[in-house]
Amino acid sequence: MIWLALYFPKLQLDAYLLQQSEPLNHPVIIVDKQSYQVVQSCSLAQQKGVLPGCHFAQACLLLSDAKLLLYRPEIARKQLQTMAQTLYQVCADIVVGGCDRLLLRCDRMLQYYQTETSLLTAIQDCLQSFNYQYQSASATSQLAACLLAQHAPARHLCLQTQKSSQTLAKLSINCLPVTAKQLKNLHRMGFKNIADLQRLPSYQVGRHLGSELHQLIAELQADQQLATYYQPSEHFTAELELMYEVGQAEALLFPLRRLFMQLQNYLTRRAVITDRLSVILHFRTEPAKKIVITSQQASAQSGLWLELVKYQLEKIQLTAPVLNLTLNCQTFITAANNQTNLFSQQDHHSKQTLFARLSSRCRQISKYALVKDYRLKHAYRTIAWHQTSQLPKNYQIFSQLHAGPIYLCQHQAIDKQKFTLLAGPQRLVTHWWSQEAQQQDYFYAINQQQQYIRLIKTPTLKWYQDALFA
Amino acid sequence: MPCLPDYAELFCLTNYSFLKSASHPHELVERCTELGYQALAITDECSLAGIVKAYSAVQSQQLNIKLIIGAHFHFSLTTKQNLLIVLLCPNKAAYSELCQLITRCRRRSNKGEYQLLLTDLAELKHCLLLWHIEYWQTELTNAAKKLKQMIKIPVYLSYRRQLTFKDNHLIQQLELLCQNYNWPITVAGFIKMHDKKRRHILDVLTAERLNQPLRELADQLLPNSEQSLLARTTLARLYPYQHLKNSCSIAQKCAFCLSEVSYQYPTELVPKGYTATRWLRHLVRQGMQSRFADGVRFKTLKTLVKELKLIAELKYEYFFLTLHDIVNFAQQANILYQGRGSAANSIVCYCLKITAVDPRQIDVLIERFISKERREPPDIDVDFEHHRREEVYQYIYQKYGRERAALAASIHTFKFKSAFRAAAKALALPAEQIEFLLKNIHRKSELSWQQQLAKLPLDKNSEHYQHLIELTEGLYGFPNFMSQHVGGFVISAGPLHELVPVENAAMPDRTVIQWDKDDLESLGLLKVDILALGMLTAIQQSFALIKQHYQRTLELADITALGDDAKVYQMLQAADSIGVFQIESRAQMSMLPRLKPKCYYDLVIQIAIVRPGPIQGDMVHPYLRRRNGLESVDYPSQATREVLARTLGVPVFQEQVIKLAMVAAGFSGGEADGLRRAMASWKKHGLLQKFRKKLLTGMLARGYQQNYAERIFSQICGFAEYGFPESHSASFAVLAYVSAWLKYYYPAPFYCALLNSQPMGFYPPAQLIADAKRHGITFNPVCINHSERLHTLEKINNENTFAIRLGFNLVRGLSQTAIDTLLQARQQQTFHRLNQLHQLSLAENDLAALASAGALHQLSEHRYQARWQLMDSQASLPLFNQSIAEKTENAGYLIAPDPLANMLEDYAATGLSLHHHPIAWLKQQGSLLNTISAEKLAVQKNKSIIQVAGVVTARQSPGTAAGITFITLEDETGSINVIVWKASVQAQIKAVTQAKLLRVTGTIEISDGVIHIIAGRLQDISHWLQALDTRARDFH
Repeated sequence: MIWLALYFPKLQLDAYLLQQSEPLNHPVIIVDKQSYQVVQSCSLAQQKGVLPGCHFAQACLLLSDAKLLLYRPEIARKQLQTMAQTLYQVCADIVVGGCDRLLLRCDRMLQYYQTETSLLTAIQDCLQSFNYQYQSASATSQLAACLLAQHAPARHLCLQTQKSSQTLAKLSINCLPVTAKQLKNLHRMGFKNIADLQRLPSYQVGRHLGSELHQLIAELQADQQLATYYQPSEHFTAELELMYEVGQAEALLFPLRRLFMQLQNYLTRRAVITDRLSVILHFRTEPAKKIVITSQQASAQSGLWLELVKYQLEKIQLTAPVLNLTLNCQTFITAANNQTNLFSQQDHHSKQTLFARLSSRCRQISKYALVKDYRLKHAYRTIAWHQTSQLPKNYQIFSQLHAGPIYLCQHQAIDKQKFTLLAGPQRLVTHWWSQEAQQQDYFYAINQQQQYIRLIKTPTLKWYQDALFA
Repeated sequence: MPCLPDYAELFCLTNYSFLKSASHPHELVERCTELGYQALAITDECSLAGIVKAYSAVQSQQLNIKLIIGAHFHFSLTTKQNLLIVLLCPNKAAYSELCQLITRCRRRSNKGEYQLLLTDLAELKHCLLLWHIEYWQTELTNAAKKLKQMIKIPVYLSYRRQLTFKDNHLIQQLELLCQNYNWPITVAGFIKMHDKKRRHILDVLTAERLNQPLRELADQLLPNSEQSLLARTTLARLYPYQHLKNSCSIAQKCAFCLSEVSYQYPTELVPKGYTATRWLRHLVRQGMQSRFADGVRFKTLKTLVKELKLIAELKYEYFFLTLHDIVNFAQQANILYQGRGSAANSIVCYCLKITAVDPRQIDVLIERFISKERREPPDIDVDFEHHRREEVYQYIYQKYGRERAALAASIHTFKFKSAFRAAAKALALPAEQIEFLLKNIHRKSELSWQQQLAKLPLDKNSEHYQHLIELTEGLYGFPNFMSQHVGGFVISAGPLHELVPVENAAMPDRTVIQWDKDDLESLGLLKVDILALGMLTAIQQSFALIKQHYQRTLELADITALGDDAKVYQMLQAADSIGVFQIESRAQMSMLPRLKPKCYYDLVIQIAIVRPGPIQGDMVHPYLRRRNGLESVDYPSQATREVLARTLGVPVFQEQVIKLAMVAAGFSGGEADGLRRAMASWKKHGLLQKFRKKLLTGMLARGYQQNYAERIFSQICGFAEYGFPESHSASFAVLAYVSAWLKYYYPAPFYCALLNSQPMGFYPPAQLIADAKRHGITFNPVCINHSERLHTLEKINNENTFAIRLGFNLVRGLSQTAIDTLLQARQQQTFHRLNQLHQLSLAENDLAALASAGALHQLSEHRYQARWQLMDSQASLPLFNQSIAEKTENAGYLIAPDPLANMLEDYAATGLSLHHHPIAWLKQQGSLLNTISAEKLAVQKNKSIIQVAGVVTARQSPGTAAGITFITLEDETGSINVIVWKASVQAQIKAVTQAKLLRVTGTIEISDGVIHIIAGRLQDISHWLQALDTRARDFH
């Protein structure tokens, strides 16, 4: 077997830099949130001494103007999936490794490409379209190829495996994917590089160092690893990271147009249509919001779907700005099955279309519940019926269908004399640690129109109307 | 104007209900007094831990408020119904009942928990019970029925307005209960803070207790700040007058005061026919015969009589008898011990053999030990061998029973780091960020922690930042949890649980009372401190080894009876004092060549003079100048001569300062003692200044010069940093001399015993071994066939010289079970093959530890091979044993360790290397070409620039040193003392605080035989030997 490993040391950083319309004039670093270490840094940052592995604080001291991004391996994984999807046109045997490597099995593909150069050229052309930095190496086993790509990469893409074993043998044992305890044990027996391990008879490795290391050494020498090859997805998923945070729901239509066009292309190429899809809005800290759009009339037309999603967006009040959009479509119907008349036109005002529009426009069925929160404006909420198990734990519903207020007023000063107090005060002093600190007394009252009202009295003895009850 | 209603708060928590209240006891009583309350009941949760501090605050500030003792409990009436019960003590019987109840509840549960049963409440006869009802409680009628059936004591219903919508409903329910059961209703605030401003602290304490950030806590936090002490005007608006009045009626029933708590010492120590006084005198007379075999001086006798009279007057006989009994046990069990501290001023203690300091050798000051004016019980600390102290504990428990003996509590409070961490966690800062911030705030920095925090990457404008600072400052000093005192025992005639509640400690079979040493002192309860000292263990073990190998029996008294040995003092004068008790530190070793002790009393001064007190008071140099004849010794009066003659006119000891105040300024014994207490708390309370005028006036009136008086006062202020009492120093000097004597005459047993008594002392084992080797002691490595658990002596070549064989305890990661197995197996066989170890079924980690420590050198060529062979998984299979034995042991392992690898393995496995030193190895590699080794420093030119390098073995930054850090480096020839000035520390802080290997370029200073390097450039060269595993001892 001949494996070509492609190692991408700065995938997230490269993806970010490529999105910028102008060349950057300030350094960019990517920091892991768990360990507070720099995992990727651009060349500007590296010139100032900020290398991967450096602590975040040290980086701050060295770089006063750096752009900081949080390390998100899922971005790298998505990029790898996208690259794999493209490389799939060149090589059918692709293994996606973690969030920084791809492995291509090239010995089979050589049958189709006949020469090594043509295969490598095709691979290179695919990679160039992405323009990510990468390192490559080839070997007869996956593990060997990966290690070489990361620690002793070849100068250019090639499939020469003759010298790979020599190069591999010189690598330090610190490069091996073993636990810290195993590594310490190896050091304490004097092992320094892989050659020291390879010199031992394999039965001795297993007996003395354990089956895991035995397996590892065996995998270095000959490919025994079961490969899980990349399979293109059966469903349509498109993601778009927005250039800036979008706070208004209506403003999402523009980026959504692009996604729906991709869907239209996807469906048209496959000669299928769909009657159901979902749009997911991703926020920074709040849980993602999913909007399901269905249509009585299945279609591939982006215009129709955009219109339906527009109605949904009108009903939504965004509680936080949107960072990312995802469009999923998993239900496909063969387009031919949907045609009733070969010569009939598409009727955009058919009953199904109208019904789809109306369904989109109507309110979702939800539960009305009281949750544990001293901030009364958050205590009464409507929750979609299917979401009751997904709430954060302190927001547990303990009272179903409690008669909370139907309308929260903008605080308006009132004349207390015009109200008859029924109950109170309920004094709530809470959330002093956050931006939502509150300190007020709540009262229930009836106004002159016999409406049930909730009033607030502040520590400065001012009265306000807070909420209206049904 | 309507008059304000009277009110008594009957339900109040202090912060001794750990993490449940945000106010100190004194804050609560002060605030109640301000608000004009009639009374305050301190009712911590199943505890009386806070009451003594509240009581002390009332007494010391003479507050006009009645303090009521009580406690509250969460009580599960059924599985679904939890009640809140408050018990108050109207009289002494109720107090005793409450103590017993709390003890029962605590003792039947794990540490920190309690369980109250209905039967416990049913048995109560004297207490008053408040059933506190909150709005969320249900099924009150059922609960009331059950309580009515079972409870015999008066019951009251209490409640508080929580300002929720359910308040009115609650009051209605209470009134119904009141009607049906005739239980009066009273208001009780369930107070958790003395002021609403403490709300933030209370919430953070809740977050800490529940281990959640604030944002996750929802309704587990208070909805508002009403659980605080309220003004009476507010109370009048919130509550009906009658309910408030009832609180005062209940308070009036409670007349018990803590001053009624009386304490009796165990009486069984006095035989029939004797009184305590007579028996004590009898024992003292007996002791005098052995202690003063050649007769008692009149002065000593006079002091003794005075002391006995004082003891009788203050009724402290039993205290001495109890201690005498304990030390008697130690003598019989051959456990070495020594009393110290102010007790060494006591001739009675000397006669009873509690202390070993001969009063003829020091200037005894009995008032330092006991005085009528102080009204404090005497404080006697007795040190025992640290490995055998547990035997003394068990003796006490067996003799007096678990009911009559218990350890005092020790209250742990939030310090800066724990307060900062708690506040940051509550604010949901990520754990990594918290650790990063803490790591970058240095205690030794001249900047405050707030200033250092401002320099770190944190958004200064965020609310979190302000809250973090506010909360950390607020939490500092708050009680966090309770544990047992290090050795303070309280022993009583009757059951302790009638005096103070007793609860389980974390250690099995240990119980602890709920009061700490300050509480005991406040109430006059006597505490016996059973402490541990490593040097006593080392000395006792030295004696055992000497007996075993040299057939000579020695005791402490035998060595002191030999008198001052010039050779021993010569060794000390050369600062050859590593391993010697109290005089082995860097500072002491710098002083020895200057002070040049020649006799026992010189040692007493040596130990006392290197202390912050004399240093701050600028007594050290004047003393040395006078001692070396560079300055004349003069005394302004005969009275001062009598006090200061022993120290050449310079006050060195704490007692001298007190005596000067008495003889020179006319202070009475008690006033002088007040001065001593002010000195002890000078930094905290600044009380010394009020003595200044009296001292100066008194001295001037007696004819002393103004500048002399001012100098004495400034020396007193210096002493406030802590100076040693002469008696304490004298006790330590005995051990210092004995350990020096043993080092000189029996170095092999001494070092062996010292190593076996670790951890103790100033130096880790590696440095002790290096010093021993410089004294010609040979060390044999850990060996599977020759080592014991501890280090042992081995004869060399049938001569009367011994080498030290290192023991298995030195091997890191080797379990005690494995050692037991090895030693047991070795009784039957000697190990020739590794296979034999497999047959013992030792754990893989133990085998690896032995191999890495080089203990298997007799069974294998080298440690890599040993480790390799031991990791053979098939060797442990019985069927394969024989064939494996032949095959594997003949197979050579390909990788052999080089000297560097051996050295690194030595350090990793045992913390030291017998054959290689990291600095020697680096020098062999040519890495430290221009450095001077320790043994060659003495011949360098004074004040020249040189370079040294070494392993960092100790770092010290004493408070008196004004930011200077002292670093001890060790190379292959000895130790090097490096002084780093404050500016250098700040500029090179990373190298100063973190380096394991250091290269220093600086100026050498040689003076009176003492050598220092004043550091200029410090270079961290730890990365040259990155795998080297050494650990420095960092002091201060």
